[in-house]
Amino acid sequence: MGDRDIKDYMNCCRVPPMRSHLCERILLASRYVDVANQQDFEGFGFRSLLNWIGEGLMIPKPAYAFASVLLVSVLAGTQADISTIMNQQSSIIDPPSYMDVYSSFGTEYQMVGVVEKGDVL
Amino acid sequence: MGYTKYSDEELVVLLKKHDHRAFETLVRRHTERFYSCAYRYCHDQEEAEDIVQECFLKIWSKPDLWKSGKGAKFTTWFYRIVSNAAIDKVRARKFHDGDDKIDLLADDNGDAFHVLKQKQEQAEVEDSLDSLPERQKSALILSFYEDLSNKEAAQVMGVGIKAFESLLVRAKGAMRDVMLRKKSDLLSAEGEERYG
Repeated sequence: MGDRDIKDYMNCCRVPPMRSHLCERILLASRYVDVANQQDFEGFGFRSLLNWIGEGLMIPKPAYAFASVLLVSVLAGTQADISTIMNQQSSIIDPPSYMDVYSSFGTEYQMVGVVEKGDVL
Repeated sequence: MGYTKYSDEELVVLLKKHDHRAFETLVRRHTERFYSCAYRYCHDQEEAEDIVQECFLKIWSKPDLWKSGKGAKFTTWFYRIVSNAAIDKVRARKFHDGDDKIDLLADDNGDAFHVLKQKQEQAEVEDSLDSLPERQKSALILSFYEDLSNKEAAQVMGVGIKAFESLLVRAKGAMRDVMLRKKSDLLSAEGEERYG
């Protein structure tokens, strides 16, 4: 049994294709890192909001979509009502929406209005 | 995007200036490759994605980790970061759930028997790899799956070429033993089935 056999044996092991949003997720997470590194958030629970977004970004769940909307709103300076948003966890938006958000986010971060006080996601 | 003309090493230097476009270029250029590498260690799609994300964020947050020495290659250095992160993840995971692994490989191929057989083979190879000592497993992954030269794989693992070559020989020997054992188990199972 030579190297060729070992290679053949090992090569039947496939890697499932990478999901297409992974690059966007990483780029978004880097923006989160930037925001989280700024220490000037006061009041309105921004610190906990950011921590929570960070957790969302570190866990491979549909919560990315949700977190990305929140992050965009934070970057855009929109005063999202965290309690309202937190209560809507069950209606997490789907990945295509996440992609839409990112696309807009990726241009100029001008997403004021994505999440506004009282919005239901 | 103009940044695509930059080499990896030039881009990673730009990260020190907090250049988002440089980071984006690196991410788009290499995510797939390193996702695949991470998957070879952990056999879990979501975990592999997390590993790659964590590693990229690590260099984004701490670009000074990169030391541009003579002939230093970004990919070799990043392979080391990803491999170490993947090994840590696998260590941290106490139980290996084979059923999950099979579910993740869902295929839209209509031939159910073929798909099931493929999944079983895949799970078997993954188990075989996991049964090897960590360093031997790394040697096989870097050499056979990632197609790195012995020199590059040795750099990733932080050992000399001779040491890597001898590690690879041991890894191949161990894999051969595992394969022979599985073959013999299969033959005895067939014998029992045939002769009761």
